[in-house]
Amino acid sequence: MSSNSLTRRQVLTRGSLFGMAALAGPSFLAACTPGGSTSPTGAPTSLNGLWVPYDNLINASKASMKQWIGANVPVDIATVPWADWDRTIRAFPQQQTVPSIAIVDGPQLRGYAANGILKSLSDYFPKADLDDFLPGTVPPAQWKGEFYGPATNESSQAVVYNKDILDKHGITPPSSLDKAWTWPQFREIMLDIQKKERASRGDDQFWGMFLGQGNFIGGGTYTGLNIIRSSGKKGSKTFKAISDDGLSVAGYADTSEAYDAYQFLQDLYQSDQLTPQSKSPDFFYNNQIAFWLTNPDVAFSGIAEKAPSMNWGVTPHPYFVTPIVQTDSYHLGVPANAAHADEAAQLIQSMVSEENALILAETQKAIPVRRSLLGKLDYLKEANFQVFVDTVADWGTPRPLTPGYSEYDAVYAPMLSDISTGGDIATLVPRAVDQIDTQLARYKSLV
Amino acid sequence: MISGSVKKRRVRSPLTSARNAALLLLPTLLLIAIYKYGPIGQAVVASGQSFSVAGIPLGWVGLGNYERALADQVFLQSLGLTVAFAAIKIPVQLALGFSLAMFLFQSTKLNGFFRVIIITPAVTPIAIVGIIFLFLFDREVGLTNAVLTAFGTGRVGWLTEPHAAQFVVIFASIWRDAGFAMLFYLAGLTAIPQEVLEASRVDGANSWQRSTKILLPMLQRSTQLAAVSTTVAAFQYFAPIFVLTRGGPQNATNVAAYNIYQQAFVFYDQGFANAMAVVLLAVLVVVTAFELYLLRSRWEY
Amino acid sequence: MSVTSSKQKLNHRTPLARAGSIIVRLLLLLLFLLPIYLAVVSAFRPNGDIFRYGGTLAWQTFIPVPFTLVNFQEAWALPNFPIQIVNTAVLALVQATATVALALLAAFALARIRFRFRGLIFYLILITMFIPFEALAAPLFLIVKDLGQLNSFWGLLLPWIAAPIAIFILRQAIADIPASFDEAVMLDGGSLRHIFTVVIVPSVWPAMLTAWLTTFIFSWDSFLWPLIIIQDPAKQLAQVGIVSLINPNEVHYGTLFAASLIVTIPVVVMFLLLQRYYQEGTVASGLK
Repeated sequence: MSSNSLTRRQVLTRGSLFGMAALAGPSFLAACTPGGSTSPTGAPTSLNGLWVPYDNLINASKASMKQWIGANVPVDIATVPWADWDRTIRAFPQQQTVPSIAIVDGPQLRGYAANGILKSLSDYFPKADLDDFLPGTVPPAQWKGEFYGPATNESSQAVVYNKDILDKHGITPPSSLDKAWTWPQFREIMLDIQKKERASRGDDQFWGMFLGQGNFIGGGTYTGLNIIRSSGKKGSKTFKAISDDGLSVAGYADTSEAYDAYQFLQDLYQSDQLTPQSKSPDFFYNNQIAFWLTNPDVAFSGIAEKAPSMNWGVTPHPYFVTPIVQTDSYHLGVPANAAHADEAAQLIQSMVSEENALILAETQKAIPVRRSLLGKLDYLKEANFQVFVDTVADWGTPRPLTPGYSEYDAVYAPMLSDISTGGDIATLVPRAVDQIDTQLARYKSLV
Repeated sequence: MISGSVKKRRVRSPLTSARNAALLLLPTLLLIAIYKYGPIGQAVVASGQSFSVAGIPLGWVGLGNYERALADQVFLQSLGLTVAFAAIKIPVQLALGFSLAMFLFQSTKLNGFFRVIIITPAVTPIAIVGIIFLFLFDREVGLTNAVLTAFGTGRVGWLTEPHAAQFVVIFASIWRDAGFAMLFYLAGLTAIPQEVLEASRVDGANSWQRSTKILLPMLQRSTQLAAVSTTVAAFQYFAPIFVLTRGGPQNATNVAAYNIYQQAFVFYDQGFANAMAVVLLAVLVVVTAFELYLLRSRWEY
Repeated sequence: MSVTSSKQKLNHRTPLARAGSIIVRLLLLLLFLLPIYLAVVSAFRPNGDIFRYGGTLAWQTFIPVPFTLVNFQEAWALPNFPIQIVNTAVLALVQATATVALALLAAFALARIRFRFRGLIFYLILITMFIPFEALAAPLFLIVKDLGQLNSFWGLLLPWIAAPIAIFILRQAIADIPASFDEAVMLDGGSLRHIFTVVIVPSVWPAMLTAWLTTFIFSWDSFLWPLIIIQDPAKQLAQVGIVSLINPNEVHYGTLFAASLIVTIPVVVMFLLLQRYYQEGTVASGLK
């Protein structure tokens, strides 16, 4: 804990220096934009925000708002559980009162933009900003040339491992991307450890790995899809996963390479029994799992809270042919029918200004949204974090870009889950592809 | 004590006033028309339209949505599942309710305790029942697999293997509603004169004969009531499926109600969803009418 | 097992039958009590322990050591959970009361007043009992949306308070009161209102209680409807709010069960308190 706060103080001192320079930008804009909070008529007394109920993100967001609030009005933050998120946002157009500012999930942004749910924020984010935002976070937020909102931070994925368990078996995982394991190598290692651990424990409550955040067996479209896409060459249809217009997966999700990867995924769960068919990563905190494929937000906060004494490390995401890690995170958006939309947009602008984006990332110990800040946060250089940062830089790719991501996800994630739980791949994949294409076709008129 | 001579004065009594009847019935009829019959009309109208992903009607498509529905393997399968789940649930639940009522009929304190245990799930919100079963049948930390592994068999993917998941969903639903069926039979047994119960015992009939040959026919009315109320509930599997399986694995528990929910509220395809709803309603009307016909003998109001 | 031998002259029971009875009782405990017991126990243990001890059979699987109340604190601290409990309770109370009030009026008219099409109207009301709501959730949503009742208390309440089952129960009960009672009131110069307040209501209160309790449980049980029409978490019902906790990054069984316990206890207690009347009402209305 003490080393943490030291780092933090250093960062803050350094940050405030260059923050002074950045300060002028947003506040200047705020002062002269008509309809801002300085306007005597129709000025809000507070803004309403809707957030996902994750304390880390909320605390970081509040910290990054301080500067804007100091010059303007307070922001009231309400939350909705993640399971309700998409339908809550989709209901905005039908509602009388909507929040002025809302968290939206990156891959869903195009769909919200296409459906007119969100307001374009292009006027608030000039090209200089878009160039500085990490590339994984920009294309998902763009629709027909407009920009709909910056990310709060960038995510990444890698394999977190329990060092004590691996030491016991003499395994030292690679820590640089160029030495990353391939999936077959990784599988062999896991099988070996699992066999020995189960033998010494005398039960079957130990596994090689846990895949993803736990919301879907099979890893869903965030984690599971990495495995499938990495089986194609860079730029191949398998790697792309969806057509360029985002309206079809036929020929992309059902290539022969993809089928091999689906089979591999199924084997991980079925014949190899390498991962528990349960939805919680708690096993990892309990030393019942050796490897955990996850993102830094979940790993750092989860381990700190649930297993603070664990000795752990990070190794790059495994791959088949092309290393790929899907990134992007939560974005900040303004509903199209929001009251005080202009103030809300200025608030967002201020939250991701160089100075505040640093606070936003630093408070939640995440990868900042701005490339220019990567070198300014010391924790990013810690060994465990370095792997995640390198991954974003070299392997980061957005999830499939489509306005119908919500529908795509609602079909594809259960398909991966059905595959992982032993379903017939030859039946499941064509059916899912067909279903996804039917749903995506409804967006044709909007593209 | 009340003389019969007053009967002739009824002619202009408020008891024959249509106006009074209308006033008393108006709120009920209005609500029934809007919220019970309205959806049927609305479904027919909406099923002829296509909707945008934002839920806005785009125009008429004739029978297009019906053609899509009847060509959709997943939907046809979900209709079959709906009927099959009900066909399994109703008889099992009635038999269980009857057996429990027979077993716990004597009003002793111990039986009272057991009745409370059995009825508690019936008043527990169905969503909570779903959560209890989610835990009970969790592949890694659920009790069922803990017991199975203790006996040396492998773990069963209760919620991840199609037939096992179907079993769990039906089991959860029956577990939950068995107490209701028991209540109907207990009430029926209370209405049977004590002498009949005693007599059947003295006759030396064993308990099985007593149950089936003598009491079951006397409990026909209970059976009818329980069957009718179970039928309505037996088509409503949504909550346990939403909590336990989300229609999976591999659509094994994707009953029509869940399928329609997905089309309407996950894919926002209201036209297609409403066409499916009309087809489902037609199927359920036929099935329910058939069941009422079987039970017709004394089902009258 | 001494209880079974006393009242009902069961002394002729063989030891075999008694052993069978004990086995059946154990099976019933296993089947009906154990799942609930495990859920309750899990509410009182740290989430990590649920995963540590759940997978294998040990005494810790059943006994919560260490014991903790942290799940209840977490459940109570969930955003909107306390207000959602209030929503559930208010809806159940209002819905049950409004349903009984409407049903009483309708049942009175249907049982006592003679008018044209009475049979047809009763039939048209009653038949809606067999329309499975889940089949028609999508069109009902469109109707409620057109009426501007989405995301509102009215949207939760209005579709249900004209309840054919309640009308049926109460109509049966009213029909059982001899018609001569009405005439006695009329003879004394009483109006329809007097018949209603003096004759009907005092005689049918067990049936009213049955209908009230049935509706209360029905309302507390509602899931699909609030799920689709309520978007604002502060207006949502607790049983839906709890389930939406399942899908995030982990299954937090401890909090889930603590919250579930808080939601379930009121309705179970209400039922146990009124159970006697409920059963009497069932017998009176349905089985005579």
